[in-house]
Amino acid sequence: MSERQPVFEWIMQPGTGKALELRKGQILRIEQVLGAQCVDFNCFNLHDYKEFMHCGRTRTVHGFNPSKGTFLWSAPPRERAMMYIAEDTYGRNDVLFPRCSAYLYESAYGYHTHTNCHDIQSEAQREYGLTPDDVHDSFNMFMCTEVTLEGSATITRQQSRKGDHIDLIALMDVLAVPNVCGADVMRTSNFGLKPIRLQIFEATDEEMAAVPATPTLRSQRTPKDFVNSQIKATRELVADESYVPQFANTPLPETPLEIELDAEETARFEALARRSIYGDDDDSALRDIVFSWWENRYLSSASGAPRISTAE
Amino acid sequence: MAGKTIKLWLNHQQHELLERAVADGAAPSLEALVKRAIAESQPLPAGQPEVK
Repeated sequence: MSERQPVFEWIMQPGTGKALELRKGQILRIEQVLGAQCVDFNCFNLHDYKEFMHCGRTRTVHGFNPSKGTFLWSAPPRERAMMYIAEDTYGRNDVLFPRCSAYLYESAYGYHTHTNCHDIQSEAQREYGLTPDDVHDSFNMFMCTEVTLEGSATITRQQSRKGDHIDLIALMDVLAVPNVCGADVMRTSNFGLKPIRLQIFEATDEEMAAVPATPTLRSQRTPKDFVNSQIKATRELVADESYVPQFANTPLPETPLEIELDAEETARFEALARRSIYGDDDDSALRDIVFSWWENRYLSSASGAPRISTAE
Repeated sequence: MAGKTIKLWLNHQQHELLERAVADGAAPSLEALVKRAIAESQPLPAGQPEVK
């Protein structure tokens, strides 16, 4: 197959969202009809809704602004690449901010009822039997955010234009749920609500071949690996009297390794020991030195995330 | 400055990681690996917080 084959098209009107089934190898295009519209997004494994996109994992691997050449990762313990951002013509997205909610509009603006991303998302996902509690942290597309030097996050106005789009390739069968962000009284979408075009295409062989390989690891566990794989069907939390803890690798006793340092090594150790943290605790100071050295020598990417080769 | 002996306490997970480095050829023993780490680590630049 060499040409993209459109299989679906939908105009998502302000105040609405749309749940879309995508099979592995299909592309969801999310496109600005008029420009300057934020889109909130949820993504679930179509065959197991308990696997869903995890903004925290995605943020750790790709930073605060995932864009072209990055993946949407599922939550631990699955941690699989669910979708790949093959195109992003505007290039400003966000995984810092939560979805806006009815609480926000009531508490800050005094609305009894107001369009908000949580409720829109929830209503769209209801088509597939999901509840309001199943909405997960939002991937905020076409949303411009900044982190200040003091560490707080802010939302700014945006400059996306008509035709700007994001192409997401499904790497597994997913339920993808975009919604038109309901924030018409904020700068998120420049104080307005506009429609968004959704299209689904079959990815070409070339497009699939351009997706970087991601690791397949034993630690990417699915329900067949869980001690308890049953989804809880009742709301009340009650202790299981037959529960026996099975924490991995426990207990974790420590054994000593005696290290004899000569005068020169001792002087160097003293220069490296972080005394403001460890005080006169030589053991902790030395452990820090040794494992920091290991990180510098062996750790292949930041935060323990697998190294991802991003597309140009 | 006189030399000193430090007891480095490691759990089995920490031990395994360092043993792997030894097996990888980074040093002939765990003790030698620790000494290599000390020898190759760089002191913090003046003024940089020690938590970094």
